[in-house]
Amino acid sequence: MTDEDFDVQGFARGINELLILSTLREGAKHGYQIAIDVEEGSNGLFRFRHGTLYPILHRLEEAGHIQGSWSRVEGRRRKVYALTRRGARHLAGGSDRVDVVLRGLMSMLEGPGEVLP
Amino acid sequence: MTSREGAPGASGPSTIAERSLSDLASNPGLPLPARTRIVKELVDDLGGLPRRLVAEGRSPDEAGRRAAEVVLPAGPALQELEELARPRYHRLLAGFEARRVRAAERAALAVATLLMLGLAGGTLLRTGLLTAPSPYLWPVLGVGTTTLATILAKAFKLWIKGAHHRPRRGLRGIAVLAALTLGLGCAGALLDLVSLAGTLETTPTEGAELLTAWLVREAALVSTAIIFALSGALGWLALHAWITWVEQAHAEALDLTPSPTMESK
Repeated sequence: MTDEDFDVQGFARGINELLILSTLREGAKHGYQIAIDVEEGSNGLFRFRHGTLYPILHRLEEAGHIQGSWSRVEGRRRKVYALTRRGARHLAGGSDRVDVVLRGLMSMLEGPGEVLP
Repeated sequence: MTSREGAPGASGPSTIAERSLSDLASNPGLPLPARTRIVKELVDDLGGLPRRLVAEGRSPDEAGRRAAEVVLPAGPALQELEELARPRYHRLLAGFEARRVRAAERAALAVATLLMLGLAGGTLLRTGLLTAPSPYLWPVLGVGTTTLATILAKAFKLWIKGAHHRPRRGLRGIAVLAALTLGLGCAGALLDLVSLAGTLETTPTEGAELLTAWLVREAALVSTAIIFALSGALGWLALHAWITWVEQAHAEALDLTPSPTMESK
């Protein structure tokens, strides 16, 4: 955490990016496979709807965190995305940041305080 | 997409998918290759996801609806997707006033045209071909430079600005200008020949000298015309081939558009 103001929207967007990057640790995947893996991996907590997955994928690709390429899977053309080294570093740094934010949040929520009768 | 249009008023996943993809595919604000890439990716996933969901036990209709819900971008997602697909040039200049950008573009084109003219004139000057040039060399230089400037402007529009609203617009003009350059060169040489014949009739004693001077003059005129016309033709060919290629890729992407339920059945 830095001294900058905490950006809730940016944090939420960052979570989506980290979820995508984390599923790509297992290997290259195409768009809907990523969506399914995120949904299944989070027990349905995180779901990509209304195409929200694709802008994130394209943004990550532009930032060099993932690399998209066209390949043939089961005789069909598919755009598959693979995690890059930069993406792996971003994932590690982002995970640490999420950990710090969640710890701070939990300590706030569970911290000692007077409960009025 | 075109052959699988849903019934009027229908609102099933197939119709929604087709409408959404059609809107995206025909968005004039995005470069054609970017639109093709996005539509292709969505179409592929829209075809693949229902198969996977059906294999997991869902009904084809439910699988189609779920696939459309996951894959098809709507509202902010679509806007963000379009923003990301905009050419870097527009994103870099987003903070500048459009009027000023246009003025700067025109100024840059004018400078480039003058540079080309200077380069062509300088080359002719260095080789001594401008000491007694054909009067038709100037229009050839003018039209030839205009041809190259038009190609430059078109290439800038297509490849840097990503303006693909009417990609073929101006191509015919380039071909006409290239042909005109060559035509002017040949016609000029012919008119110079007629003029030379007239001069030889009045002063036949200077025939050898006049003929040599004519040959040098016309060689400069015709070769300049050929170089400009050839450059124009090559530029036209490159632009034409690229536009045909991206249009074909786009048409293929649209033709492949499946309804989200179709493949799962």
